[in-house]
Amino acid sequence: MPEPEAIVFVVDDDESVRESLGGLIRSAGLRVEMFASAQQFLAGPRSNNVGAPSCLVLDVHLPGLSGLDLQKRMAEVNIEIPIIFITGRGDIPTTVRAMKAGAVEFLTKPFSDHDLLDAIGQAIERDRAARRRQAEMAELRDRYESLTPREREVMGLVVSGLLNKQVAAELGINEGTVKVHRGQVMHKMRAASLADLVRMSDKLGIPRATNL
Amino acid sequence: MFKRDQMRFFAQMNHNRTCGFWRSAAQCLFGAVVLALLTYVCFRIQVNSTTVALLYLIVIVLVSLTSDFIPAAFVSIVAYVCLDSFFTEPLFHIAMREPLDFVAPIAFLTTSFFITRLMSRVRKSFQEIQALKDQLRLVIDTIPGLVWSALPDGSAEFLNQRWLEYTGLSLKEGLDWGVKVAVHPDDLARFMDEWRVALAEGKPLETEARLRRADGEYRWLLIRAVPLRDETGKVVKWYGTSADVEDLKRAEEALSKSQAELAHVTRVMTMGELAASIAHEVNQPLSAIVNNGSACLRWLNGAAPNLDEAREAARRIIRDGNRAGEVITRIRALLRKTDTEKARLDINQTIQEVVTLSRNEAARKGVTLRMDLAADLPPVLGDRVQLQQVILNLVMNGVEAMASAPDRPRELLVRSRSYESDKALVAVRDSGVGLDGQYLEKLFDAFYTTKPQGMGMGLAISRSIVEDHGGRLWAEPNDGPGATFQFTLLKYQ
Repeated sequence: MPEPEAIVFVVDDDESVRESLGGLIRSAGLRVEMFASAQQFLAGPRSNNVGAPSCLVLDVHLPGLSGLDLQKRMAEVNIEIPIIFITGRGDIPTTVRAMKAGAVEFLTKPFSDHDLLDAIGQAIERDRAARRRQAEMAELRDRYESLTPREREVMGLVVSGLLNKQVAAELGINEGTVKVHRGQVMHKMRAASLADLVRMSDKLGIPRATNL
Repeated sequence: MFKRDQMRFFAQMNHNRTCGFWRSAAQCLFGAVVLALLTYVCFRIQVNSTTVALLYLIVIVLVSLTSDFIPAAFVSIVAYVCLDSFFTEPLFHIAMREPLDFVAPIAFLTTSFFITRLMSRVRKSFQEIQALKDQLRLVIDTIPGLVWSALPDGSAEFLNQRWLEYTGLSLKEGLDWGVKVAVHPDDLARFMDEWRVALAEGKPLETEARLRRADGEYRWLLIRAVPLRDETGKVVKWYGTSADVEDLKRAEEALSKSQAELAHVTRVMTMGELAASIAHEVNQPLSAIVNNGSACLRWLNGAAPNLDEAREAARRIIRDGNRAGEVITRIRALLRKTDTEKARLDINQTIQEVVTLSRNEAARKGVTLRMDLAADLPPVLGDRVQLQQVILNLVMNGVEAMASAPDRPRELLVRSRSYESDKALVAVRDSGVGLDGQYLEKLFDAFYTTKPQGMGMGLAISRSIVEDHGGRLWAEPNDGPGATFQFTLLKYQ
């Protein structure tokens, strides 16, 4: 399945600035959607639901809900889109707050096209990676879900470094059965090696048995 | 001037009194001489006694007409003596024996008494009228004002001494439309028009015009005239006064000049407070221009240049450049020091300009500016810069009132409406801390302020500007939170 085209959201109350940003971003071959206020952006409709990598170019000073407010609100409702802040007056406290809350970049108007487009590229890349990670996680979780309860027990003990014999003793079953379960686990999780399986279990956050 | 006239007036009265005796003596002598001549002529031509008595009576009447009672009685007695001596038998002999002899002297005396009495009454009332006239004339000539009267056709009928002295014109020149010579050429056409209209409509006139003083200086005069009507309502005369208001006018001008200067200073101060916002207001279109410029180059530089997009970007550059220019023009207009220039003005546009200028400052303080402008509002008469200052002042006050208000929707509403039949109303409504009823009027005092860094001149100046426009500026607390400041302006006619 080909990845959907990246999209850039622009929220700025000033029509001239908004339009100029839209034009500049389109000239770089990116798709743009523009909003005049934070409320409008939250209300949607936005076309990133299909999983396209995206980023948000956001004016700090907006009437009503400000840029920083929107950043907070997005975090609350789990809208994870990297944000590039733009402002007419960059003051240090605002910049610090925005960056601490995870902004990609903080640009003071007027800025060069390179600065903006670089930041957008970086933000989209970050979003793309995040989406990839999310997709991977979802896949891993699906695989893990497909394991039987016994297989999950076996997997948990194996990744904790126990030998088949020890697993068998721990679970009170014979070693042959453990080998079968282990084979099933490796197959269902599509792990190429034990090390691979250990990495997967780390990502899934499966607790290891340490007090054995 | 007054003293001299007064002295002349009283000297005249004294003179009349001391001359009384000598005049009576002269009249006695004159009467006796005339009687003697008449007697001589009549005696020589042998006229009968009845005719002579009639002639004597005429002399007595003539003497009575011009004199008081003593010469008249004297002449009557002389006349009787002459009649009895020269014309009644026995001649050259005066006898008072028969009752008939008493008829002639009593008739002479009674006649002279009545005529003298009558004449002295008439003369006295004439004198009183004359004295009254003199006094009136004295008053009219000496009161410190130019007094005049005119005929229904507008030509001068009377001009008081002051008028003549002020203009340096002779009475003849003055009465012969001297006002046309005296009124400043620049004011003449307007003044004559107003005068003609007043004459045609018979309505009182009040106007101002410059008049040339005797020393050649043109000075502003307040000219007022009222018509006098007869019982049918027809105008028979016009009475007018003209007062020199040059000094008053100069003082007024000086006051309005210093007010304008103060207004300018506070305007500059307000602009100082707005500096950050103004910078932002210019920065916005500038950054848009930079973005559009970059985009334009990108569209042109691509492997397949997109001319339509490049053209669109260039078009936006021009638009935004103009916008930045407009912002600067507006600010320069507000900072410029100008005399009041009242002209036809679209107050809605003025409101929009101010809101554009202050929207950012409001947003910075978390306030939303909203406008509710009457679409069918007719133009007003006003000075754009000054009214912008008033609206700006009210908007900034409202924004600040809300900045210090507890959490509630911060919205400032600027409304325009038609008001009464001939006015427009501009109202600025905030939802801020509101007003304390007892300080409502104090707000408009100079140097009254509730802000730590305020000078307390904003509202005082705003009110003087609005009043200078013939309007009214007042404040009232809202039903809900906050307050509304509003002012009226006269519609342009």
